[in-house]
Amino acid sequence: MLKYLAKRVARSLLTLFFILTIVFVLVRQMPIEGYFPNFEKMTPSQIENGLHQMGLDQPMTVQLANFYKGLLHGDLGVSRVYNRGKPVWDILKTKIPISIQLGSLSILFSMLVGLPMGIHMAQRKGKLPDHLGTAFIVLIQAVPAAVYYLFIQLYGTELMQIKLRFDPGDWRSWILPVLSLSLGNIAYYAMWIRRYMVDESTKDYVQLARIKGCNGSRIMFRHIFRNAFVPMAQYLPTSFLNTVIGSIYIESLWSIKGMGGLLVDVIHKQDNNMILGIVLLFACVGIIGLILGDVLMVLFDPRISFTKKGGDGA
Amino acid sequence: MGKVILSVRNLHVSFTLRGRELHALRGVDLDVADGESLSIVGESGSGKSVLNKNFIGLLDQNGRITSGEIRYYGMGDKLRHYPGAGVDENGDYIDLAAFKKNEDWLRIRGSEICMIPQDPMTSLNPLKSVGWQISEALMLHRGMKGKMAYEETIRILEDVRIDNPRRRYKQYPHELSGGMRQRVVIAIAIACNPRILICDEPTTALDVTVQAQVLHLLRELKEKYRLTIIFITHDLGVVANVADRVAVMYAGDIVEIGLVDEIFYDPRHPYTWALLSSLPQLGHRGEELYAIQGTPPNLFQEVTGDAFAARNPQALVIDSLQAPPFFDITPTHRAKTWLLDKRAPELSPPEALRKVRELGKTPEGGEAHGGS
Amino acid sequence: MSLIKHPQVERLEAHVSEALTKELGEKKLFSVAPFSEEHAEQTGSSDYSYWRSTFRAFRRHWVAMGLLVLLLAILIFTFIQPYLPGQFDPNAIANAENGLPLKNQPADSVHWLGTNSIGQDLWARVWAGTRNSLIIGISVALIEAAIGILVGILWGYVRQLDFLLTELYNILDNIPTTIVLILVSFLLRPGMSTIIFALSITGWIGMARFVRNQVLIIRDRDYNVASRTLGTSTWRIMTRNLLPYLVSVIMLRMALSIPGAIGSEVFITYIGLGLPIEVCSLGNLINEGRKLMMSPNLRYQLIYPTIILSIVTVSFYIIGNAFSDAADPRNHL
Repeated sequence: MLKYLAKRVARSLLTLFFILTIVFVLVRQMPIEGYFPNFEKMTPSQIENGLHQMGLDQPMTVQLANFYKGLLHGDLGVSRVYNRGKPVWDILKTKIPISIQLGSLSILFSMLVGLPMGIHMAQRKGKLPDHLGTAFIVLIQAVPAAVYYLFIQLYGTELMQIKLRFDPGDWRSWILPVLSLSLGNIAYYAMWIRRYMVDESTKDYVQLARIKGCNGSRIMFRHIFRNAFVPMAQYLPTSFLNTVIGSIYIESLWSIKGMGGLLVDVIHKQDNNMILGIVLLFACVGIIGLILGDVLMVLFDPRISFTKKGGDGA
Repeated sequence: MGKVILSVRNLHVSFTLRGRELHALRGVDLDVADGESLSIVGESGSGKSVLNKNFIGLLDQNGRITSGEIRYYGMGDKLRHYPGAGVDENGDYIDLAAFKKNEDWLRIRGSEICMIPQDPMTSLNPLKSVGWQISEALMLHRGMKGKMAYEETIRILEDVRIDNPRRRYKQYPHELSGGMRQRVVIAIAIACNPRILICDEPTTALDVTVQAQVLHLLRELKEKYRLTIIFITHDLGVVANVADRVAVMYAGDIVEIGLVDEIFYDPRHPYTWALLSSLPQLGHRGEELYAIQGTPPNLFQEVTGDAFAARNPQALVIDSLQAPPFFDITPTHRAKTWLLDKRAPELSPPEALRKVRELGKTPEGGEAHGGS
Repeated sequence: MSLIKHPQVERLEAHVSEALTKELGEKKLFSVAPFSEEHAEQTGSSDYSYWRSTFRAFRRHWVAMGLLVLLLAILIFTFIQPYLPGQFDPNAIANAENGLPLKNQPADSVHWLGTNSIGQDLWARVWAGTRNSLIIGISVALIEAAIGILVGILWGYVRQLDFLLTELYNILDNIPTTIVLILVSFLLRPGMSTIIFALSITGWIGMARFVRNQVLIIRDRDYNVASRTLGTSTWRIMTRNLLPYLVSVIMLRMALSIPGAIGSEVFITYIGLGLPIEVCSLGNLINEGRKLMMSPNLRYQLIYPTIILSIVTVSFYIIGNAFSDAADPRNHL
């Protein structure tokens, strides 16, 4: 079992390495205005000098190597445009906690609402709760998040008398952002757990449990749900990513001083190093989600098959 | 015949499929006696599984009982308030066919009637240990928990001849072989402590060598726990090995029923003749093996007369016009065929069947009966 | 009791219906009937046709059918709208009699959905926007499908490639597509082809995996093994034996990638990397509307584009799912 985990972790790290390299190379292609706050006013020799100082005139492989060296020391470079001279990491440090709070609250909330909803839908398959739930899921999955976030903000603030400006200390201003961010995952979890439970309920061992004389709720929870929950672990990484992406939009929509809002800012201001730093951090969150998902899979399933994700035939 | 504990009366079951009605059981009558071993034989599609699913209320979603009763006796006062309760010549009964809700069945399933399904490979919960699954049955029906349940589970595992029970208790189904999984399923059934045990082709999915062991095991358990067994199979060899009485089903109805000796040595229904003639052991070297011509009737359409008539070279004219009733041959043996009517000509069963009796006597012939 | 002799028990006589007795007489009734072999075979032939059953199953899903009609109507309308009488150019600024631009006018008989903040006709803009967004969505779906199917079939069918591509997939699958979208849009400067490119380069992966899984299931079926032993070329097997069965999966993915693409376009516009303002798109319209949404009487500029966007995306989603369900043989009952 441990060997299996080690293999998955190694693969995740390899993925991380891959992502970082690709992103790094991509970002290094970005226009060099992103390194100079007053690019228009600089002379060609000044620019050349500046580039040389930052090591940007080296061949790509050297730049990559330097980057990883710096990474191991916790050095993500220095912001050039957004906040002159301040190391990227120092800027990010202040923004991370709020994003983590927002993200974790959202994921927790999604699970607490999405799973029971899906179970309820599976139990009442074909009846009204199922149809209502399906309508909800369809709306959330089809209509772009960007759109319903707006409407939640619009009508939510009016109806609930919440200020537009986000105040981390006031618990009320957390409600709408967390809710908006969670909707996508709620629909996701509900849809999948319902599907898995319906699939399990037609299996032979459920038939035997009925023959044994288990009553409805015992079968539903001790057998069907418990078994349907196992493959859910593979959706954890995706929901992490969903939350990360969603937070980019939500944070800027509500002016929350977190990583996502920062990303939009630095893109507008074209600060290449900042962009690189933030994207890196997001990638790490994604990888953490991956590893967590693998760990959960191993914990839940005694049969552990070694080709569960991506490589299997089903 | 001993005391009747289950009595099926004129049972009709239909399925809705692609908008059409499939009339799967067409007026089945059957009595099951306490302590006997009854075997229901028939080919695929004859309705034998469907019949038995009604005894535990696990008919498929698109099926329903359209008429008839299933009387279950001996519950005493326990379920007097149940739908369709009554009294008849066999005593107090409740009518299983009248059950509407799933909850009604909870008192029957397991503790009174239990079933061993066909495929042991998929019948066990892959995420729960083998011991847990047996103990669950103990908890549900015998109120046992904790250490008591554990010890009893070990004892049952020994009864079904699983080696090293304490180690096996913690193992998961995928760690066991097919034969062992079948024993676990049997163990679960035993743990429920039922009166009637239905075995739905329990050996079909197993190797021949394991088959014999499982059959032997079932016989032992039947004695030890005083069970009444209903054995569903299409394999006549297994029947000869295990059954006291045999019911032959064809196209959703029982066409002949009798003691095992009567069915094998004195069959009366042309279908039973055909079935027995198909035994490879009756073939002559160098000749073609006998096979029944044609295919079973399409039960989406109404059947007039005797369902087997179209495939029966010796059918009478009346066979395709009016369905025969049961004719009694002995107090224990009856068949639904017009050949037993006074007015019918004397037709003899195929030559080949003579050999069945001979096979029954010789040691090699013992093979035809699956060995003992 | 002996096998061949008659039973010793007296044989009973049963009731034969009067009508029959009258018609044929007892002697005839109890004589041996002639035997016909064809009559013995009662297997009805199944007139099952996959596509017919699929369409019949789909037709039963009346919500999907209704939306299909609606969607087709919208699609047709977006393309003929500019040629109808009384339509305005989406970029033209309408002026009142006094020469000043007609800004922020609510809906009236001239401007059916009103005008926006610089005086452009909203009705024309909404349809132009729908047109462009649909073009983006459909292009992305087609490109993803083309690349994805090709790679997927090869991946599933050619065993040597399997390991390599599977590992590649596991890595690529975890790269957040939105990040790629942002970076690519940033690098290549926003535009229709940029967006289409950025969305397609990540989207084909999912399609490839779906196709590959289906191929794996079908590849080793007996009829394909038979083809191979007869020496049929791989290409022919792939196109003739495998492709028809992949259609339902492919249709579903395509139907779902369209709302996804439209949604990504809205998202990227908000970040500032979307289409230039001269190009009308639903993303642009929604973004413009967003700036005004807090004032109740200007809110319509957000709501109208949103309505059409929602109708289009929800329709594709539902139709895609309904079709996929209908194409699953298990639902052919």
